[in-house]
Amino acid sequence: MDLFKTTILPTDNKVLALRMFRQLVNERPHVLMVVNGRDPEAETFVQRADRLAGTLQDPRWVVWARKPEQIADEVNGLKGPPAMHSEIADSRGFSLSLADEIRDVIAKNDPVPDLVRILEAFAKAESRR
Amino acid sequence: MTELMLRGISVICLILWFAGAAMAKQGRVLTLEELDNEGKTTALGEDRVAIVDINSEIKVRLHRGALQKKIARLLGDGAVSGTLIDRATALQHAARTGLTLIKPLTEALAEWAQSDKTPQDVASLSRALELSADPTLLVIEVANKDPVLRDRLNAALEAALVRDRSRASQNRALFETAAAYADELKQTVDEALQEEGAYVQLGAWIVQDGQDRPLHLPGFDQYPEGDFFVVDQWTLLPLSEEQKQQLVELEAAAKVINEEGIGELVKVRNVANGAIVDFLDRAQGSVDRIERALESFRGAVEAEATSIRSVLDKARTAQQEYTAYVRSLKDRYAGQSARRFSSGAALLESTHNDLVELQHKTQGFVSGQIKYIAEVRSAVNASMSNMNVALAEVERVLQECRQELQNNVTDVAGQLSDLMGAVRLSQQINTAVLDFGKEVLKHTLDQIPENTKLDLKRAGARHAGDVVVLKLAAGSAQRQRQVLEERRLDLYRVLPHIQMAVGMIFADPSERTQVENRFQAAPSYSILLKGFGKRGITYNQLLRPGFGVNVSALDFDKDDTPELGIALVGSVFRDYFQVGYGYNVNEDAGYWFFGLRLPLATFTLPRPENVPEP
Repeated sequence: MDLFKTTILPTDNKVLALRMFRQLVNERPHVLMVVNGRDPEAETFVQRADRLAGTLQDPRWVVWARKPEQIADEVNGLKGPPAMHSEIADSRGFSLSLADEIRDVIAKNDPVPDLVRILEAFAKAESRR
Repeated sequence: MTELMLRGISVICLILWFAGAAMAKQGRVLTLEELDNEGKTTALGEDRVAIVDINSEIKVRLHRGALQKKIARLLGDGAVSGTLIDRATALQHAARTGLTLIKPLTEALAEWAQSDKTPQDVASLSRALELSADPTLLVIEVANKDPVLRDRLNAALEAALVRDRSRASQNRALFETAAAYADELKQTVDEALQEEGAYVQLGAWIVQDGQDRPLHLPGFDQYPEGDFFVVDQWTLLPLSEEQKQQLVELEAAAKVINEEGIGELVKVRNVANGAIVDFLDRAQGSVDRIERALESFRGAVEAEATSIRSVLDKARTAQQEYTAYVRSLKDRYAGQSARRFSSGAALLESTHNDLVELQHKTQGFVSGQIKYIAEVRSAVNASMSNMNVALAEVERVLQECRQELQNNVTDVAGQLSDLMGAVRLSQQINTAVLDFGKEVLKHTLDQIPENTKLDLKRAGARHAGDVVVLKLAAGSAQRQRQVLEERRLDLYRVLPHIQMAVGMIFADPSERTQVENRFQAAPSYSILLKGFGKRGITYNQLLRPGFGVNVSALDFDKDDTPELGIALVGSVFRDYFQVGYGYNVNEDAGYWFFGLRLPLATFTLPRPENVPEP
């Protein structure tokens, strides 16, 4: 699996995973797609999101949180509508704006996101709507 | 990309976005834009009535999506789904906007890559991303309801990402696929509507003094081009024959006013009342004829047909009521001293109202009589065939009288229309009577041109206050034609121009001359600079201000030899009121004045012969 614009968080070092996530969220100006889980569906999601993240100059970026519980506290502290916050715990992933605000959540019981669905999540993170 | 450029693009895109969204929301088919003689373009808003310059060219654009939707609604739910049209319109609009944003977004991303990622850089990038995200979301919103589109978008994105991961490549795939799908949807709608035999017509008319004539719209009709006529802006034309005649009449009127007082002006009442009294005399004659015919017939049948007596009694009662009404009206108009009005306008309004009532009662009376006679006829037919000849005579009299009375009402209304025009601000137009001629083409949706223009200079002679009406209509093999949209353009001289105005001034020389009264009336004309680009309805219909020079024929030394007065003048209320300060060249005296353009003085002079002096 070739991933060009994805940061894979370690599963065996929670402190490092958290630090990497914090750095991506707080210190790097990215439009982030956070993908949760490590099953084949999550892999498909990551691959598609990585491709839609564009070229290196594009601010879109993908974070693969194979153990999302490692970053749960940090995620809970992010800005965003309460309704979305409550969905994140049981989601396939979510998107964050340049201002680190949660803009879209792809629920666990939704189908594996296709390119259109992932593009929608990126676009919502980039839109002011 | 500089901040300024990005802001510019943002503004343009927002305008495009909101204009499109507003258009889609309101469902307007016609968009009008005025190109005036100075080359300035003005979008004519969504108001049903718009003011345009009398020499302008009107660009007309038809929005196919909105048109399809209106036709579908006209033809009923079964013809084609409104949702389909909504989707096609939204997709087309989003695709068009999205494609135009690819280049600026690419530039913004390149600039972002080179930047230091300062907060200003982040803000600049955010704006570029926001602009592109909105049409993207709109396309996806449609795809979320349309699996076919969704599949196509996924396939197009997949293919694009194999070639190139760039945002430009992704967006091009997304928006080009959306545009192509929108075209397919529209094609489907077109075909469905064509199967229904749907057609569209666009017509234009100019309405002048209550008369209308069609105008040519290229691509929409086979009318010939009209006469080329430019309403002159700057040439100072010589006084027209009509203006010369007005000056002569104003001079005579001024003399009357200076000798007998301003009260003479109100004699306009005589004209109105004279016309009404004359009409009532003629109406009374018709009623007398009907009465005689009825009495004659009544005498003939009374002995034989008691059963129809009650019907005839009703007819007589109605006739007596009508006679009483006509007499009371006649008395009211003949007894002028009892009727006082605060203004000429009030007088005209009251007269008009009486006319309307009279017309209504007259028609009611005659129709009632015809109905009664028809009832009698059925009874008579059964038992007294020999009465038919007498009945036919009564009917003939009634028909003649009806025509006569209607003609008289029309006649007297026509006589007063000029007076009414003085108090009316704009033409009241019954656009329902503007019918599509056979020269107006019936277009199917796939043939209809999306643009046309109406060149007012090709509309022949025009005057301020004329009205142009555009009507868009549709129908089908099964459905009668219906008007979908209607726009009214009031023609005024919006751009700067010179205008002549003839009127009466009342000059006050401030007791420095032989003038005994405070004001001396004098005929005058003004050369006014008007039209300051204002397109407001009130401004053009009511105010129409101007300023310039007033030239008058004064007589301060009262030797009956006119003296030349030259003044600076300001004019408002369509030149009905002017005020200024001037100089009597011959008498070396200054004066201030006010002027009136009310037609009262003109109407005072030709007093009708049948109206006695008050």
